[in-house]
Amino acid sequence: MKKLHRTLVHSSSNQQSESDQDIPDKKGEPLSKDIKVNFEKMQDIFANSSDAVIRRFEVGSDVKIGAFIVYIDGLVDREIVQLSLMKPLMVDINPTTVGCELNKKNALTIIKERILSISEVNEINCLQDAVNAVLSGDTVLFLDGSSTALIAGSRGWEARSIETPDTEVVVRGSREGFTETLRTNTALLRRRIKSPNLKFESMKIGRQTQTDVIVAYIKGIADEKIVEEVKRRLSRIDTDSILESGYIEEYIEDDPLSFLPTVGNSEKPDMVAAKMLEGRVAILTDGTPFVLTVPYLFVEAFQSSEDYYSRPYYASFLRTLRYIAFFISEFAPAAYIALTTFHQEMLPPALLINMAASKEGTPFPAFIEAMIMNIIYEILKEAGVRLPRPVGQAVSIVGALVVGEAAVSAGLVGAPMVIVISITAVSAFVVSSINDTTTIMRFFYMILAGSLGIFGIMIGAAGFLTHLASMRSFGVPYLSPIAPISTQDMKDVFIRAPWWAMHTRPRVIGWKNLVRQKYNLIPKPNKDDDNK
Amino acid sequence: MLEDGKISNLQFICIFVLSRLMLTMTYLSYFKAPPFNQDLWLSALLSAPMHILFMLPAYFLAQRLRNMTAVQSAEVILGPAGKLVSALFVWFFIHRTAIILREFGEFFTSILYPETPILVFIGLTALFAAYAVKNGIETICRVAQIALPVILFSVLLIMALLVKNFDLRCVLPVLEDGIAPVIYGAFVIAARTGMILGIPMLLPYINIPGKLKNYLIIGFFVLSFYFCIIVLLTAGIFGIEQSKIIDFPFFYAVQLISVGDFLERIDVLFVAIWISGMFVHASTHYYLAVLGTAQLLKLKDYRPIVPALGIIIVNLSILQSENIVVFNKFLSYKVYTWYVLLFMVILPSFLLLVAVIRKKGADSR
Repeated sequence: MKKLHRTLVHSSSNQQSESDQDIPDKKGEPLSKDIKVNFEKMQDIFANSSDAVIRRFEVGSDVKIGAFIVYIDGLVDREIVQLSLMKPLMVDINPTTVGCELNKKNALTIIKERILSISEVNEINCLQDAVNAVLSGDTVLFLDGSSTALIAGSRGWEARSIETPDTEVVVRGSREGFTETLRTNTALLRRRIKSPNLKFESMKIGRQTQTDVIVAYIKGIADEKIVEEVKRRLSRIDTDSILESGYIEEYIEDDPLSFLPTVGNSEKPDMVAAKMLEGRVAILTDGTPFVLTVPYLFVEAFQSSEDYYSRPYYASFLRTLRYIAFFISEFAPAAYIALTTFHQEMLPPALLINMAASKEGTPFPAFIEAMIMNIIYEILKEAGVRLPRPVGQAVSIVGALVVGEAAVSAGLVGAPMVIVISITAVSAFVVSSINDTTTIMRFFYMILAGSLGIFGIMIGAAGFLTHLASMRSFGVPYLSPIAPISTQDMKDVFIRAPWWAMHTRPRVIGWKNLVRQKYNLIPKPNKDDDNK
Repeated sequence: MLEDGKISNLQFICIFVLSRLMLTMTYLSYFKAPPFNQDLWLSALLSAPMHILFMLPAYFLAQRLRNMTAVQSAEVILGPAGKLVSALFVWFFIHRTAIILREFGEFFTSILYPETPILVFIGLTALFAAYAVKNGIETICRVAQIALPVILFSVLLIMALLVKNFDLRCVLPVLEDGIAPVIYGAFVIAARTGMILGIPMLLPYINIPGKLKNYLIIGFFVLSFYFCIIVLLTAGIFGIEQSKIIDFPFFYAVQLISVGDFLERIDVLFVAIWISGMFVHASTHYYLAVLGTAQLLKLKDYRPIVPALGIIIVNLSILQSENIVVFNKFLSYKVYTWYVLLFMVILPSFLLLVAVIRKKGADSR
């Protein structure tokens, strides 16, 4: 709460320059009644922009009214511009269809109401708005004699189609993933939550990029205070560019110096919808398929969307497995170093002899070995991600051969170390959303284990736990519902209770509208049928 | 307020039980105290009512001045002279932290790392504890809430694995020397619960202070149950005379675990959970020392004095005695019991008495 309060106070003082675009009448130059002035201004603004199209023409059959449209080639759907905008204005317009004679005074209203066959038409009267609309892919129509221009919704550009996301693969469940287009993403969410309570509040962030950002939440389920706080933190951002939701994440985090994320992200609409239905707020950013969700809790890293679609027993088993994998990926190399360097007595004699034998010929202490292997592994991983696909295969073969086989037979590292590092590497991917944190922490634990054995590991772990316990995400304790404990919420932490048993939302987030379903929904035979 | 966090009764009892259990688990100095015979487990059981007895002055003092810590209320009750009592409370927590860190370090230098200087363990623990203290009581309580179930479960697991080594003849006959030494033993055990002074220190930060007594009583019974099984098992494995001699009876008992030829020597795992518990124990007392100091000096924020006090505590814990023998002499039941009782029972009783006579704080009930 302290931090929240601090940001509240902080943000209110910094809240000035963002509102340029939101309130058109207050700022920005008004449009002129003279079309020549407007035309020159637009030409001036879009000078040297080869993709901007400014087309002059005349409207009307008897009285000719000067007009021009502005759009950006590539951002508009040409068919809309040609068939629904240009053709009605230039060809179809005549007193019989319109019903009255066109003049400079009534032209704008008549064109808006009777001629343009485009569903989304808005009026604006300031230059800045016109420019913004053009840059967002709309077409702006200026008419002689009126200081108001019309925005015709004509957005349409080449976009990636909806595909299966690579980051969150599921066996059972929706295969759809978000795309780079904001409108598609909101549609994907709306298709899952067909309720008028699903709200999309949009804003523009970035002085140069003017990125569209949408705050999505379900009214009545999400806590208004969190929604307000999200909007406040977003409006604080005053920067050149927002190119990906990662930018936003770093600007709105609670604990910016922490290793751990306090903002979640997902590429799957069903996942985001489920989180919003638990009371969270989603932040959609134009140009990226990654949607942010807040508040983000530590336990969310161990939840997968598939847990909720498959049967509860296996889902609970997988949950437990993920926690185990997390501990392995954090501690396995450190524990191995501590065991072989400080606490050999803990190993059973047979294993100890084996390990001593394999370490016999190697020149480095366990700590150096583990460091070398871990760094090589991280390099291989990074190379595998970045390299073009055909080359990537070569890297993995070289990596497997050199690191796995040759290093051992050359006597550089012991065979057990290779096993430990590979188990660690595989485990880290089980809890992929905090993979980066575990990687960094692993090196810390290895250093601590190399210098102080079990004491180092445990005191480091205690410090890490303290750090986790001290964090908050949008006012919600990061470790909840484990600490502070909320026994009701434990049904979705280490296990996943059957759906009919989870009749409340998580208390820490969805406390505003707690009950999500009827009690006692467990399926049972109908007694009336039996009696008959 | 210096601390704007709020903790629940459950969280308070978690740090309370954890603080009390951790040192006992490893050191088990009760074997070197009355009743000196196999009835120690009875003393451990009886420690619960004795605890409740000792708790009363501190508890009623805390309830009488609900929105004040012990350090603040001493000044309200006694006027300017109360500063002296406040300073004594602060000293008690500083000294306790130093003792905890020293005992923590001594264990490692004598068992696992004979070559490493004790400063490494004390300093590193103090450093991480300082981080916890900086984050406030809420954070410490959350760590305790995670650590305590793990520790309680681990102790039970250790018990289950050791039960085959247990020899009932070691703890028989019962009440050989009568009931009096047993009660004296319970008195000694309960008198070491210095955390009782934490009740008036932390009550202002508990969200429902009225229900604390139920939780405290449950906490005392959990403690006496765990004391009892630890004592019973250790005595049953080593015999009472052997247990008196060895330094870390329970730790050596854990070393005996051997199940199916592969689950052997899990003492390092025991050390692992012990470290996490001791960390909370040390941070709690460190926090109380820092909070008390800040309130004594009427500071607006306690965070700046965390490193300063940490340096004092680390120095004190190293300088307070030359070696473990001298240290253990101070910690023996003849000295330490009365030392703790002074701060834990006598001073709060005195404050409570004066408060009743001068009618201080009665209206706040």
